[in-house]
Amino acid sequence: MFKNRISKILFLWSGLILIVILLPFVLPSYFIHVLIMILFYGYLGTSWNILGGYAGQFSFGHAAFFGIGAYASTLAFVNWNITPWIGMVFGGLLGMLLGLLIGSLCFHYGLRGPYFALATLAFSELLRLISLNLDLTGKAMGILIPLKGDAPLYFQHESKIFYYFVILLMFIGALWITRRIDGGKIGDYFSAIREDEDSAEAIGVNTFAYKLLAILISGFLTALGGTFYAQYFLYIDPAITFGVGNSIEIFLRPIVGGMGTVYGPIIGALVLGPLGEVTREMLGGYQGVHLMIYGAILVSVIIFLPNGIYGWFRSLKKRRKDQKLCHL
Amino acid sequence: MPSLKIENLSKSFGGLTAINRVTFQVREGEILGLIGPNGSGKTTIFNLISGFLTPDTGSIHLGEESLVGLKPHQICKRGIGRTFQIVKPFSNLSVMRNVRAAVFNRERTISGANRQSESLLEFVGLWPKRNEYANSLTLVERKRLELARSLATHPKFLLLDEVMAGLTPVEQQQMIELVKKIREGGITIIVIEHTMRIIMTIADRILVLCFGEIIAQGVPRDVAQDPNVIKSYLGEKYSFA
Repeated sequence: MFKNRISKILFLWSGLILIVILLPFVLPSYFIHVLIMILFYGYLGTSWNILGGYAGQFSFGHAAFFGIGAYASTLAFVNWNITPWIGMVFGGLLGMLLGLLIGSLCFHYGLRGPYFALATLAFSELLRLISLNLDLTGKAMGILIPLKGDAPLYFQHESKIFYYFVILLMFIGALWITRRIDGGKIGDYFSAIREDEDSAEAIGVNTFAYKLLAILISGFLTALGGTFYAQYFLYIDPAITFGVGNSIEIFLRPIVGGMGTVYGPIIGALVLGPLGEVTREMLGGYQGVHLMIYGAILVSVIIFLPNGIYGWFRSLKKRRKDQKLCHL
Repeated sequence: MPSLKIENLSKSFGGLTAINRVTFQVREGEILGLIGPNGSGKTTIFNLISGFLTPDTGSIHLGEESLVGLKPHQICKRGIGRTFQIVKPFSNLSVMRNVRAAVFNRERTISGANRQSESLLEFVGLWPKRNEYANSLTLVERKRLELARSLATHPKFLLLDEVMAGLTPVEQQQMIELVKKIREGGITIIVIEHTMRIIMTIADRILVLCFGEIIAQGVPRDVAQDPNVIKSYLGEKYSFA
C-alpha cells in the first residue's frame, strides 16, 4: 500500500497526532480525565527516568521536587496573586536548587544505589514534615486554590480540554528532552555512569558533574508537574505532594514500562492508568484494592520483565531477527 | 611528547605498605612491562597513576604537570588511558555505544563519534559484534572491548592491566599483535602481565616489583637472569635460555 517506509511512518505519525488532538473533543469528560492522568504520570515518569533510568540514580523521593513545584506556584498565587504560569517556572528553578542540594551532598559523599534512594526519601519526608508544621503551608489542612473560572492566564479553566493540551505539551517537551539526551553524548555518559562508575571515570566522564546534571533536569521537570497537579485539582496538602505514595506513583510507570528508554514511562502509564481506573471502578467498595493490584503488577514485572514492557518488546524483536539470520 | 615520571611513590592500606618509595620513568614510545608476584603492587601503581587512588607520598608528573590529586576523568583528559584487570564493560549497552561513550572524550559531533567508534571496532576485530550487548560477549571479546574503549579516549599513555590473562595461546598472540600495532601508532604502553613468555616478547624494558618495591629493572634478558628476580618471582628452577 505504501511506496516506502518513510511514507508509512509519516502516515502513522500524522494519524497519531490527529487522534491525540481530536480525542478530547469527542470523549466524555471522565475519559478526558483518564487521558490527562495518563499523560500526567507519563510526564512525571519521563522526568524521573532521566535521573533514575538513564543515569541510574534511583530516586525514592521525587515527591520532594513535585511538592516544591506545587507549593511554590500555589503560595505565590495565593499570597501575591502571581499567575501560576510564572510560579511554575519559579517552582522549576526551586526544584533545580533542591536537586543541586541533594545531588551535591549525595554525590559528593558517594552515596550509591539504595543509599542514594534512602537519602532522597529522607529529603522528601523532611519537606513533608516541614509543610505539615508550617502555618505558611496551611499545615495538614493543605491549601485550597481560589477559583478563577475560565482564566487560562491563571492556569485555570472550567473545561478539562484545556488541561489536556497543557499536559500534552508538557509531556511532548519532556519526551523531546529525553530524545535529545538518548541519542547523544549526554545519554552515552548517563548510561556509562549507570553501568559502571569506575569505567565511566576511566574514559573521561566527570561522573559527579553528569549525575548533578541529571538531577537538575529531572528536578526541574518534576517540579513543573507539581504546579500542573495543583492547578488541575486546585488543592494540595503535605501527604499528596510530599508523601511516599506520590514518590512511588512517579517511579512505578517507568519501571513497568522500561527504565532508561525514551518511551518506557508513557507505555507504563498507558498500561497502569486504565488498569487503575478499571480496578477502582470494579472494586470501589474495597478501599486500597487497586493498590494491592499495583503491588502484584510491580512484583510480576520485576520477576518476569526485568527490563520493563519496552525492554521485553525489544528483546522479542531481536530474537526474531536472530532467528531470521539462522534460517539464511 | 611529555614524559611520565614517578618519584618516591608510596601507598599504604592500613598497616600494609602496598607501594614503597617507587621511582621510575616511562620513555616515549616504549612498551614497559610491569611484573611481580601477586600482591606486589602492580595494579596499585596503575590505580595511583590513573587517579583512582591518591598516594601517601611521592609525585607523579606528566611533563611539568603533577597528576597527584586529580580525578580519574581529569587524568584521562590529559592523555592517560587504562584498562581494568577485571573487565568492566557497560553491560547493558551495545558494543558500539561502549566505545562511543569513550570517543566522546575528545570528539564533539555524533557523526564523528560514530565514525571513530566504527574504525576502532574494526581495529580490535569487534565490528561484527557492534550491535550486541556487551554482556553477551566472551572473555576475549570483553578484553578487546576494554582495549578499544581505552584507545577511544586518544591516550598518549596506555596502562594495560593483564589484558591477556585467561586467553588461549592463539588469542594471546592476536592480542600481542594488537598491542604492537598500538605502539606503532605512537602510544606509549605500560603493561602488567604474568606470563613471562608474553612479557619477554613485547616489552622493551621490564620493572620487577616485589612487596611494593622495585627489585630489578632493565631489558627482558637481563631481568630474567637477575638472581633477585629468580629468587622472588620466577623460582629457582626457572631458567631463561
